[in-house]
Amino acid sequence: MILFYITICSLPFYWIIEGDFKNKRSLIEYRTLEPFPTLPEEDFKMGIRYLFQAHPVEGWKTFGGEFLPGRYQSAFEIALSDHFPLRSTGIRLANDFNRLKIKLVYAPLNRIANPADMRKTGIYVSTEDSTLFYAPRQVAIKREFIDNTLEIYRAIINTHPQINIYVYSIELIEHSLANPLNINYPNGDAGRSLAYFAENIPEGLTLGTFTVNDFDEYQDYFYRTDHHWNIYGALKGYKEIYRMLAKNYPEISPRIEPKGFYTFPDFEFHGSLARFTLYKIQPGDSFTIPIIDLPAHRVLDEEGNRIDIHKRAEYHSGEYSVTPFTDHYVEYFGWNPQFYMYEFENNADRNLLLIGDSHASSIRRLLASHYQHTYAVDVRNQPEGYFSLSDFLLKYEVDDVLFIGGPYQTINHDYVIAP
Amino acid sequence: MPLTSLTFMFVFLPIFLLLFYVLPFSNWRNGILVLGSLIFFGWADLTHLPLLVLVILFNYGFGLIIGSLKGYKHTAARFMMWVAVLANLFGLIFYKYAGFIVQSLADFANLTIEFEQRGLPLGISFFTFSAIAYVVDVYHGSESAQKNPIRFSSYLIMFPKLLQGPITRLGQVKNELNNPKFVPNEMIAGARRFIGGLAKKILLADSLALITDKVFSLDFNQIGVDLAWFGLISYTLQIYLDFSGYTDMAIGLGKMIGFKLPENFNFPYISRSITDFWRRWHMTLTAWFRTYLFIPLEFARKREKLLRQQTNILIVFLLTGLWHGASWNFVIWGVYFGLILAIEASGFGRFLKKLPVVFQYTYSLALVMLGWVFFRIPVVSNWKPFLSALVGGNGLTADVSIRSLGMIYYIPYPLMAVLFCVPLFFRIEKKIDQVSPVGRLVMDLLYLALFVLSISSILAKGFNAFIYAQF
Repeated sequence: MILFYITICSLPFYWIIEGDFKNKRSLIEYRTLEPFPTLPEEDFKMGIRYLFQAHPVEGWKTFGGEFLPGRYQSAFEIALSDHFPLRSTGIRLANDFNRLKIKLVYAPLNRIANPADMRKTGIYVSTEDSTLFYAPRQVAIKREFIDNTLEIYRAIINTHPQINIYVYSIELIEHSLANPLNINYPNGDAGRSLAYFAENIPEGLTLGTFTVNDFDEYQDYFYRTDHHWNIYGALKGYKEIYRMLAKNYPEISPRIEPKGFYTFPDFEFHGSLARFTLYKIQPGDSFTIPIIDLPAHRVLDEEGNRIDIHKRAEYHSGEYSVTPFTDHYVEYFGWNPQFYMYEFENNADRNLLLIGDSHASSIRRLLASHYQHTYAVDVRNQPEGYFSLSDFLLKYEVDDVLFIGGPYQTINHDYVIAP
Repeated sequence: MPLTSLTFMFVFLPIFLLLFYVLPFSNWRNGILVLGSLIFFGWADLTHLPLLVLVILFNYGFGLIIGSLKGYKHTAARFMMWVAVLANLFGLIFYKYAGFIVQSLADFANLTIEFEQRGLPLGISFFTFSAIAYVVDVYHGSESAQKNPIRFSSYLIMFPKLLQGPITRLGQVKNELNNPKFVPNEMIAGARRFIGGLAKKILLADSLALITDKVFSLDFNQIGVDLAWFGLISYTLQIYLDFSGYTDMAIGLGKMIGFKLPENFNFPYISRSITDFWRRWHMTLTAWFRTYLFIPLEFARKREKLLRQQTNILIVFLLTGLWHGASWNFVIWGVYFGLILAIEASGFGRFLKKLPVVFQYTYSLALVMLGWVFFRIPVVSNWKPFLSALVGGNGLTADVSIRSLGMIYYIPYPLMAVLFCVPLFFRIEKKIDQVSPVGRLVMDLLYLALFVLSISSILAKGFNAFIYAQF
């Protein structure tokens, strides 16, 4: 028990010695850790001044400005947790303990997959510990939400008849008929949302879908530790989208074929599903990228300045993190800013507006190579989730609009797109 | 600050312990204890810190006055005692019950009254009862008034018991207050007790809370027997482990600084009657009501022969229910137990003792669990559908079931928790400790492992507030 006292008594000294807590990141949670709050010295001084001026109530309220509602205390507790020594080890220990309990309880049920953690992530792990995946959504996407999205597409088509509108919907496993847990979730989606959407698409909308037939096929095209499609899924998607675009774009440049593939040898990819559950299944995913040649191009922001949206160059020069749970997908393929554009040095004279989520990241460059300008927009990152296509078209010339992503990007907008 | 917060365990406690034991004079330790307790309280509820100071000064002053009067001006002393008791109760009523009283009167008179209930000062029910116990004890002469204000403050607001008890009488800690000292063996025992309580709270009670929060937020008309019982069993275990976990931590902290705080629980779920249950559940509250309400009532009404004891029990338990919270479900919960106790006191208790032991256990546990339904569900109209679900009104499994909610993995928690509600581990620990120093070392390592696991769990998912912190 002496060890207990030594431990608790040594930690204040650890925090004092450690000192700098700003801009530290947690890889396992993919966020910047909260620094310790600074003492509100100004409040103290003002409060004391009020007290000397015989205004005790004002003085007390000002003196305790941050403390009375408990803001300072909460921030301090969060910082203490964030900067606790061996924090990530502790979190993983707690998760391992929970996982042990889950395995014990689920063993007699003989199911194809067990929950990967005890939180409400809804992530399951196959019993042979090879794949992490989302369980079916408890209830399929409501028909009225899909109808609403269909209405938006209809309005877009009516308002902008000169523009080709495409939707490429990637059916994620939680919505798919291929989910092996569908049997346990009678109200789950099991492909019904996409089927309903496909049956009701308005005239003038071209729909492409990325679906898998069974769980084996899912494992071929999606990461086993991340919710995104892997490079083989992405390239299959690119191929299908290319075919879809080419129907209305006969002069489109030839489809890009990878010259080969490269797998980073010195790390395993433990993606978002592994990170959310802190479940490091063994082995993790291989992180493979295509080797491709593209015409010269630039990535620009709204003002026309060159920007970096990924760390591809760093990866190619061997500068990448090998720490577990690093989000290599986002780091390599790029994150989704509010807006950016590709400018390609090619002979194309058409422009594309690509409205997509992070699935699009891995093929955005390939698609952009067929256009002079490709404008990339993530509607989720727009101010207040509002995006007006008409306003956008006043500013930029666009021939094709492609919506690409999972169901919440393509068939059930939970944000607003105004025609 | 909550005892389970990292701020408490890794900042406040170590600094406090270092200061407490580094001081050259043991009398200064009470000063550090008071200062530490004020910081402890202020960190959690700075708004009401002035109120706490006022309560200390008020009761200290009245203690002195009552103590000085009682020898030769008995009536004046009694008057002052009543002033002190009523003033303490006024504080409690103002902060805790004013809204409830106004709302109930408005409902009764069919009026619409807008009344803004003040925020409840943390631990008010606990420190008010300690304060009342003090002034009454001084009046009765069972305790002499504390002349040393630091020592008195130390008794009233010592941080281990400040927010959730155990409700302590001055006599129970007087010797330690007079001479706070370092007791190495108690330090070890205190750490163990603290860790045991922490593990009970974090690893079990907070996990059970995941079940109960889910089940009791559902529409009871849609749940089957499985979910209703799963929720009720989990709550039965959660409330015990949550509160007894806190008490273990408080008693452990007391030991760390040389105080022997009174026990609050004695495995209440192995009671053989409801009378027995209330001797084992929240023992310091029951003792307080017995000493300061039931016995005086018995004396005051000693000439009444008809149902005197029974009505006194009912009054006591009506107030016990009300003590827990300002709402009708607590009042009914209290009356429910009052009625059962009155029946047991009328001869049924003696009859019960003649029945098989298994029946006694089942009877007691079933009634206690039924009581938790009233306690946990604040809206009285929701009791019927829940009770109906318990007896299969919606079928064995309904649309919303353990399986459909994906709660199968919570099943081990109630199973594990049950083991902590019986004296099994307590006896094993005692036996291992007695075997040899190796046995003690093994137990220490086990406790350290529990500590690491509890802290890991806090880092992973935080912690819930203690249930009794709201009272």
